[in-house]
Amino acid sequence: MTTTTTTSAGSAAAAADGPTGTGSLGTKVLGGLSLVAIALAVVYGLFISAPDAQLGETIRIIYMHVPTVLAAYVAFIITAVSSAMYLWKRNEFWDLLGSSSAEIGVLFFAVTIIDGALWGKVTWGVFWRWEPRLTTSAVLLIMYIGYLAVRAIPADARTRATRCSIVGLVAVVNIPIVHKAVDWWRGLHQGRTVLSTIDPEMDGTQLFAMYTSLVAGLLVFAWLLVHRFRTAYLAERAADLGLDTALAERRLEGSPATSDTSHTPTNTGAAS
Amino acid sequence: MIRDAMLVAAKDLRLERRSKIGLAQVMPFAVLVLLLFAFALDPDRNILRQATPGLFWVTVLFSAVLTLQRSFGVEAEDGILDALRLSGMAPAGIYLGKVAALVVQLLALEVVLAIGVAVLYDTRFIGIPLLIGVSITATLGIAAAGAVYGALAARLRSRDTLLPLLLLPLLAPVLISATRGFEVSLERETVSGWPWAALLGIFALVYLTLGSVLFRPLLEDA
Amino acid sequence: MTGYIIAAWAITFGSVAAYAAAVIRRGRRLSKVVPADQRRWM
Repeated sequence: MTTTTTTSAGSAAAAADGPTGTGSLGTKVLGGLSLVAIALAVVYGLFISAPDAQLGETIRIIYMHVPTVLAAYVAFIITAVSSAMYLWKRNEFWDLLGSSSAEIGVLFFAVTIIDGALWGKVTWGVFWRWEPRLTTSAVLLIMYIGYLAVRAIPADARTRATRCSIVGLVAVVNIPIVHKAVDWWRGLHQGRTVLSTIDPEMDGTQLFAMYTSLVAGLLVFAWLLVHRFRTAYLAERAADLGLDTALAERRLEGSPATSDTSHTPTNTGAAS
Repeated sequence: MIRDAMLVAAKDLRLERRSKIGLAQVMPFAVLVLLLFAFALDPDRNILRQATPGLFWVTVLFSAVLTLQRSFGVEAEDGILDALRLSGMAPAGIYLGKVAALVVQLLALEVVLAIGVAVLYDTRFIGIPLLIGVSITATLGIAAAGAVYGALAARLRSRDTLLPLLLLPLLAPVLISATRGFEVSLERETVSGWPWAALLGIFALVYLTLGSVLFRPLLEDA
Repeated sequence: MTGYIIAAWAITFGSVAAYAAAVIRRGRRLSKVVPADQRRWM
């Protein structure tokens, strides 16, 4: 993940001299690669690769289900590591990284479940079955929606970051436990699970479609993460600015230069 | 640290003994849930009997959320959390003390519920060792995880809706394992139930450890 | 069945694209408010 800044030499005065968005050379490269991988995945996944011997055409749904779930798990692991690092280093970077990653993880996880349900509709005739993968996914999704709910609570940066870090860590250690419990519970009774669709004996074009999809998924995730992180950073700076402006206004009101001598001092309300 | 834990646990239990919220409100609520399930599931058919383990543990979970909200809500309102933080007691000790008090309260609740299902759902209790093993490990896990989120949610106005949202998905594996364990011990299943108890034990251990570590930043900053 | 396959791909790409657009748009909007030297971490 390269983050190059495009700053002009010196002048901080002109607002337009800095980056006008969250893009950079690095993200353009990432984005370009993602698009190539996506194009390959689409071509191979939807057209060139043959229908699977066992799954038939439904494997084409799996081509998206697997990358999204992988990206989601990567996202939650990043959140967990960031949470631990934040609690250790108390550096804003880790908080912004962790929360950005969690948000993208929830998105990808939700998509995973939707894809899984659509696959299920074709394969089993129903949108939902209490099979291990879907059941675990449902639990994990709600857990991380809880993370986002905590994130949304207005608070000062340190409090919010601490709360989210705690949730991030508490949630991640539960992932293997949920897997184990659900697998023991549901795994023995069900026939074909979604996971059993990944067969290393796959046909060549299918394997290629799957790999390009995986690569595409991870590249898109990385691209999204950089943009989301930068946006979160900007949001923090904007919030600081808002606070600075409010404080400056207050000081201006209290100074003897103002003509309004009947002005009663007011408390700055909680700015966050 | 152990001494701090015992101090906190004793304080919590004394508080409960005086206010009797657990006795006067949470336990009746739990029995009420049993009644509601009976209304919903029609006692004449076999469903209630078959579903008893699950209904038992769902009721425990809901009651645990109430108990947690009570346990931490009172403290947040009276600034006790801050007082604890400033008291110089080891945060891990405070945490373990709260967990211990919760475990006692929840176990008492489970005994009452067990009587409830024995009477209302005509449950016959066999396989007692497994029942006890499952109950203790599950309750430890519920208390360990619950104390973390309970403290986190304590100072929030949205605590009443946030705590269930956070805690219940987290406790999903506890619900699954405890229910299966009970099913085995009530001889509804023929497999061994001890793996479930072991998983519950792992959950409890993991969260007791994590909670002890996280309680310091939680008290200070959250 | 093709309908479901198309739906899966459409929902996947659609939601990711929509999210990406929202993030980028927000990033651009915030960049206008923040002074140039504070816009990037590093």
